[in-house]
Amino acid sequence: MNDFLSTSLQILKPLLLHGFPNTFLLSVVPLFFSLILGIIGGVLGNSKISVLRVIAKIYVYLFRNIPFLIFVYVAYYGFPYLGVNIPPLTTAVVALAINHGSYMTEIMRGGLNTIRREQIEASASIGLNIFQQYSLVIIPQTIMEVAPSIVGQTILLVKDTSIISVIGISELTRIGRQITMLTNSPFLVFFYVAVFYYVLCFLFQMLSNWSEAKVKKYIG
Amino acid sequence: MNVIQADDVKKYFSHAGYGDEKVKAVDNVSLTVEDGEVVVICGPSGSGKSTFLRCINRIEDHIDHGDILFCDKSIYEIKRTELRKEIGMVFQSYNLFHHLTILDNVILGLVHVLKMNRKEAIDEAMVLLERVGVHDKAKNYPRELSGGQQQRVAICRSLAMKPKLILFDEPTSALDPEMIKEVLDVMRQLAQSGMTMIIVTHEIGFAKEVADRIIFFSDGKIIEQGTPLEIINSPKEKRTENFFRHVIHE
Amino acid sequence: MDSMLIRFVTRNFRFYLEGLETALSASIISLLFALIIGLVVGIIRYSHKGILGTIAKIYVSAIRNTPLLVQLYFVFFGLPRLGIVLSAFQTGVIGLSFNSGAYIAEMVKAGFQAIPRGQIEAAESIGLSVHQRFRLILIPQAALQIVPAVGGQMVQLIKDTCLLSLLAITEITKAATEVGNKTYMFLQAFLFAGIIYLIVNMLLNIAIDLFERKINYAR
Repeated sequence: MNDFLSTSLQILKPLLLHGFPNTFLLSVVPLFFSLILGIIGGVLGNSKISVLRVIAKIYVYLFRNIPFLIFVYVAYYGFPYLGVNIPPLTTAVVALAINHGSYMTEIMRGGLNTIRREQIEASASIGLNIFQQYSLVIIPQTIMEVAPSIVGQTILLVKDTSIISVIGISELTRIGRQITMLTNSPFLVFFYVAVFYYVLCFLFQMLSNWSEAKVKKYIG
Repeated sequence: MNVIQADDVKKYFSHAGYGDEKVKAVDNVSLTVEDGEVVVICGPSGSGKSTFLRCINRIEDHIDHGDILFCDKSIYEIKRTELRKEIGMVFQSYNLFHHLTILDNVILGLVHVLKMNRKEAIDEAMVLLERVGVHDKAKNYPRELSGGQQQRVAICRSLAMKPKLILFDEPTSALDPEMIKEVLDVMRQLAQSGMTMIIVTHEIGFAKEVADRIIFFSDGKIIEQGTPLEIINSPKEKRTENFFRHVIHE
Repeated sequence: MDSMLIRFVTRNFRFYLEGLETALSASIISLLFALIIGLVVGIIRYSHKGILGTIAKIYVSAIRNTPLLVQLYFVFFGLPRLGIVLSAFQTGVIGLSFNSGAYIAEMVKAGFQAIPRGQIEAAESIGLSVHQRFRLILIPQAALQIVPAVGGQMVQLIKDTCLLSLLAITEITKAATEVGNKTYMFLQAFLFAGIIYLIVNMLLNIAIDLFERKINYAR
């Protein structure tokens, strides 16, 4: 029993102190950027100009049909090839942001579709220009409406952070693998790793439910 | 100088399913509105009155023939955002921004279009809200107000821009009967204060009381226009007579 | 530049082809197992039976809230501990099967839940047993919704086989890694792999669309 406890502590310490915070940051930072990409993509996807719609569609289609790991490798080798030298961490954040930007695009595109024409007309009727209409009325309303979906989407982001362990980023999965080489209980290690991910995903799920209730309360 | 002058306006909608045949939503409409006038437009549903109204502030931005002048200048030569500073609109379904508080709804235009500073905008907005009797709801969201209250706020939102003209598109049609009066009261006050108003409505009693002129629309055309007394009591056209006979119950 | 790319492709294509073969067989085998797991667990989830239902709920929840890679490592490093020695390929298939199985279980559950209550009541009222109700009414109707969803999972599964490369299984991505190691043209190697995945999934998507259209036509 003592063995079990001491092994557990040996495993839990690095996971808790380094793995969990890193994975958390690696989820939240790309989330922010993927949202921005999603807003741009969503607006393009609903545009009256068909070229823009096609660009958005291709963006979404590519990431829906090509594995994320391939994209991580492409980014990892691609940036230096283009002469851009950035640390692996930045590559990871960029890769995550662009990949999940495609999912956000789909969410935003759907959400923008549901904004009633009347809200747009009302914003036009008080003299707001197109940019103001979007930034003050249309996009805030869309985000509030799709907030639960966006937060739910974060769960996928959290899981994808495990994949960037291949380019040497120190997060839960990579630290887990390193620990298995030190201790002799892979079951326990990956069980604890799984628990950390589970907790993180669970938190985001709760956040999603909370935001859904909040939006319903104020916006109806 | 007329505030509004419409010359021979035509607007077609091509109706899907009828092939090439186009529906004349607005057919050869010419009218003028003077400063301070309250003009009411009545007519059966689908007669083109709302469509025509929405052309005036270019929410419907394309007409197939004719021109509309605002203070002697074609509205198509004025930048839309500039035009809408001068012409306000109140919608049938109020269309308050549901993600903003009542106060924010009213100051949105002041801050972002008229470029006022926020504090001044709030002061002005609160005065307006008090005038229509909803200032105690300033921090609430539209969802928490009744239809009548929301519509009164919508009127404030337009008034805040200090327009020369306000367009009303069936402002009471979506309201429960007991709330119609409170909105009409605000509109009556507005008329008495000298605001130029063009109102599309079914409220004939209100029109009789407040309008300087009533215009009767049918099938996209103006059938007849005149003072309330003329139109309602001694209509020249048969269609006018039929319409008002069916609508008046007062 | 162009001729270099063509040479790259022609010289190394056989690696990718082997990888593709492995990836496809892994997908198909995993899908079959996942379907079985998914059907069983899905039906359990739908009928929520006591302890079995709770186990099913935990299983699905655990899979959906943890990364596939962690699940694969769990199986890959854990099974030998239990004395079960399997090839990397077999381990990978097990991991993928259980992963997809959970998602398919949810699709199965949703498919059944989408059937209007009236259908079930009508079936009960003409005296059909539970077994008959399932076979004659519920499963055919649920299938209409489940089949397209499973199609989507197939595409996901092909993408998932990519992670098997980290378990030293030579599928498409690992082939790309090896080609990269050989030629030092890593970027091109992985881009080519990406194109292969894209084409495979494109074809799969077209097939699914055609199939869906056929089902809807029959409705």
